[in-house]
Amino acid sequence: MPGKIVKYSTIVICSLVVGWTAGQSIEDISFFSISREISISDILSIITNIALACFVTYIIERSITESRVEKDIFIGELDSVLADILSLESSCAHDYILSFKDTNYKIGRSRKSLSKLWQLLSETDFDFSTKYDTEYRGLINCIRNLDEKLTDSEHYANSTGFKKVNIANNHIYLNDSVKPDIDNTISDIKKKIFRLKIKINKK
Amino acid sequence: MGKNVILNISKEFSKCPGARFKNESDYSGEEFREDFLLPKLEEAQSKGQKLQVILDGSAGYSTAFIEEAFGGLIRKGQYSSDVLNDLIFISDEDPTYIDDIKMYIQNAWKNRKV
Repeated sequence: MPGKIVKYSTIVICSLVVGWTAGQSIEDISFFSISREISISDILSIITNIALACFVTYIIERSITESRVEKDIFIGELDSVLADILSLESSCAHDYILSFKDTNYKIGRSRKSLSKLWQLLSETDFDFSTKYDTEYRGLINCIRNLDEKLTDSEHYANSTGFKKVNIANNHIYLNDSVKPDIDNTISDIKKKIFRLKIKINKK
Repeated sequence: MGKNVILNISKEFSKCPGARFKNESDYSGEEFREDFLLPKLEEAQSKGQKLQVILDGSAGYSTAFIEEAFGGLIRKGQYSSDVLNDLIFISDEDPTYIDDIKMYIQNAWKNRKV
């Protein structure tokens, strides 16, 4: 607080010095007249201007800062979801054998992060969370699809007649036919996360 | 309503639930259904109570685990989709798991072989 007082006092003193110096440089100031009377409307006008300046500085600026911090928190949570998805993408691209526990943990963590984010959003901005609930559900569905493709051998056995992933000894065994499908699902998730980030940033 | 029978998955079964079948991974959905869910459900029904399943505290549930554990109740011919009336799910960490379980139970009932 004392720091702020020093800062604002310095600004006021500097402004006066600059104003006085500028006045000195104008040689002919005869067309200016200084009245020794101040009308009540002028006083009111000055008070209104000062009040407006305070309002703009403290209230609006504060709310802008708060809103920015909130958005950064939400976007940060989405980034943590994205980090898990990118890590899965990298594992799927480079390996044919994945740890079941690790994969399950990453998917579970991204679902929990997303759920936590939406709970927070509902608490702070109910209208936003209601408006974009479909997008949120769409993203959860996409992550669930990825989960099915990576961790459920039966899913493919039922829908396509043959297994694309095999699970044994706590490991997931991928093969070439499932990889493009997994890539597409991950791309879809990334697209949905980016869209949600943009919407949060615009809110 | 009286007390419920409680099944806390992370405390009583595993913090890291596995895949669908016993031959696929440790702590599978099949193992959970046979050794934990069914006995607890029968206990709750015999007492005229509901089974409260607590999902929080685990590292995450694969869809295969959930489908086999809960959808399996229907597929094995032991229950109808009315079993949902005897189950209460608690999941503060990720409430969407509750929607998943209900969906899998209803799908299993819809797709049952009669």
